[in-house]
Amino acid sequence: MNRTDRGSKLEFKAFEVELESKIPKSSKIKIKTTVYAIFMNKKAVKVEPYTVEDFNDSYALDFDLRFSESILLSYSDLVSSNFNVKILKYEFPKDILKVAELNEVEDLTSKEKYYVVSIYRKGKNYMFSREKTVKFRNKNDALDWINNIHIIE
Amino acid sequence: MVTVEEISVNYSELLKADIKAFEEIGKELRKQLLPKLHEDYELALEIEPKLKDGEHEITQTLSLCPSCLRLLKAVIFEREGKVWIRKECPVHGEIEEIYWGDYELYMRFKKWQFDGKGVKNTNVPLLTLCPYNCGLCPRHKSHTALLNLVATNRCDLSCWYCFFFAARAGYVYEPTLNHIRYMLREARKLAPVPPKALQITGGEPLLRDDIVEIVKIAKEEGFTHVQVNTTGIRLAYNGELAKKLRQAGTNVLYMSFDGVTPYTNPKNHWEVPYTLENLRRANLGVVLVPTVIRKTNDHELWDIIRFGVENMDIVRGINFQPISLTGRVSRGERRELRITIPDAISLIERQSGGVISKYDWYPVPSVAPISHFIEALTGNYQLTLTTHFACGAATYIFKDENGEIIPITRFVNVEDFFKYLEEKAKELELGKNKYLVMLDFFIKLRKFIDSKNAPKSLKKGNEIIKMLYQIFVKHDYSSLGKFHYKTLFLGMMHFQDLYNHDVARVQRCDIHYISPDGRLIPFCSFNVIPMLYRDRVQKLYGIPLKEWEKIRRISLTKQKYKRNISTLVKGKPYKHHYRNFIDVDNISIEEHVKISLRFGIPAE
Repeated sequence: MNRTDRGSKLEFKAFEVELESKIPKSSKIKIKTTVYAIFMNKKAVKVEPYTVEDFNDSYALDFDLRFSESILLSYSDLVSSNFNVKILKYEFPKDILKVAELNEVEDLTSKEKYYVVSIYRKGKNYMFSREKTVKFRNKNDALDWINNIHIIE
Repeated sequence: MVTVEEISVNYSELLKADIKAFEEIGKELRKQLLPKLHEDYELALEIEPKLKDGEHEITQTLSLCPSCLRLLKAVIFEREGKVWIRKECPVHGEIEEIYWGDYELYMRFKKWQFDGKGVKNTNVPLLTLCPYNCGLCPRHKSHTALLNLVATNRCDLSCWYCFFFAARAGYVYEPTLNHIRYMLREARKLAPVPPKALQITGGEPLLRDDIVEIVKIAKEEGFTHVQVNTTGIRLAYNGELAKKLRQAGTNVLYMSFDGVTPYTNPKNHWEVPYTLENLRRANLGVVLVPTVIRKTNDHELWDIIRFGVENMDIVRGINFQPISLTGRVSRGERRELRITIPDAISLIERQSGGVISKYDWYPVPSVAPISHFIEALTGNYQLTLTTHFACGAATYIFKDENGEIIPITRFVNVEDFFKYLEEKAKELELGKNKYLVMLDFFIKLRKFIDSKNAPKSLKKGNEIIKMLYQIFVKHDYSSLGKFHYKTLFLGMMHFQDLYNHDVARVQRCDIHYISPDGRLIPFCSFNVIPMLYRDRVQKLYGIPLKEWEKIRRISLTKQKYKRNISTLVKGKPYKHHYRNFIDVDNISIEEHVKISLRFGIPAE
């Protein structure tokens, strides 16, 4: 997931996606992403990226790691689409416990909207690893779930 | 306990290993066996393939360089009514290949693409890009519809185009029964839809003395459909084996059949009539599998269908497979041999005088709405065929009482019916009352069927309506079986090669091999990149040919099949089966022998 230790800070990458393809399957998808930081005994706090970059092929595997399992979207789908993908980069202090990522997925072909929440835990060597991914139909349910993470712990 | 040191497996320990040991070794080897960047392949994604004058882009995809397996970007485009693929390797230059012979049909088929829901429990972590991460990986969009199990790589033939069999590969791969049970169990763990259809393949699987036992194991492990992929030659001489295979639970044979003359089918032309006779006695159905090669047997596609129709009592279907050009093939040779699905469909239309037209064919994923509808109705995951639309096509034909052949599309409005089912599946998903949906289904069902054009046998007692009722209301799929027995299934399946390779197709593949280490590998990775998948893993679990011969005290060379042509051509079954296709008495024995020898099978 390309999470690197930048000096005293930890880096986390997320993606925002707009994609439209005709072949092999017609699809139009928008993924809006919000990231939350979770510290010990505190509620999840929404954070802003410190930089936003355009997608390039060096992020292909990162993209697959992020979306193939949860949304069944991969770099190969990007190649066969017109797309606009942004890389959102975040920095966190080392005492962060977890990161919650909320993907609002809008499938404009099937007119479906759903929410995917992935929780990443800071592990050994200050790397984040995916702990859990849950899909919601309703945004409030997704936000409630994120807000209750510290209680769950 | 099986020892895994570095990346080698102790063969003699494998022979004694139990299922648990295979599980342990498989888990340990999987990650190690995955192809590695800079060792096995390179990436060259920076080159955007260009279009030339007179070409228009359809889409872009990922593909491989046929020489060095570099991952490349490729463009799929239309030129002069055909679909092409072009890629450019920084080392080996531009590679252009025909992808589909008919742009119009490509666009018609494209409408029927449905993607799967993926697989929940993948066997390999995501470590690298597609197609170097097969196992299945989380990118994979389709679950396994047909599982392939290689029972042996031994073969008693040595066809000139095959590089797979033991004598040429230099090693023997032949899993033990415990190993086979382990592999089948691993495959059946797939969620949300475990595979139920298995093909036992080879080499020639009937060379194994325990083939009947393997079929029994497959049934015990939950495979409801078991087919054996064979040349059928052994069954021409051994009717008892056909009976035993049937009794053990084999549903159908998948038998090579490249044409109706010795010239087009030198592989098993002389034996097929005897095999069919023995299959009749055993009540074991067969699907004929012609490999279609341009200017070799493509003039006989309609004759092959006629042959199938004449033997409809035992032939369940014909699955045409346009040739996959493995190994290094020059551009000139490719042009000479290459045929694509629409080319074959168009030849059938021409050769049949329009009896089967190109509009009678539908892509494989077009049937996905049936699964979606039943899934929405029952709440249970269903097997859904979600391959890439360019991978395969199918239709059904009926033989009427007067001998007329009628494709199903002439009396069932397939297009509207599938669209209707998809619509109803969506309504059910959104919570509509299922009894109301079913009521609507019954009212509308007849609208999709044009009884006046239906075969007479199906008009009687509303046979079609009854079948559809059984499937959609009772969820009784045995009615599909009955449907199949009254018809002939016609299929096309074009496996890829390195020239027309398209990663979008690989990611949607639903024909998977179970690898000896428990991975599930899409057909077009397993066989198209054998050095990274098939050969790598089978060699590891196999034994050098000479050692195997020493242990088993068998010489593979001595096992080679030698045909007695003069006896075969004199027999009644031979004359009977080919009477409407060749002048059986007009080809001399010398000519027959010459044809067989030229193909590489000794004969007298």
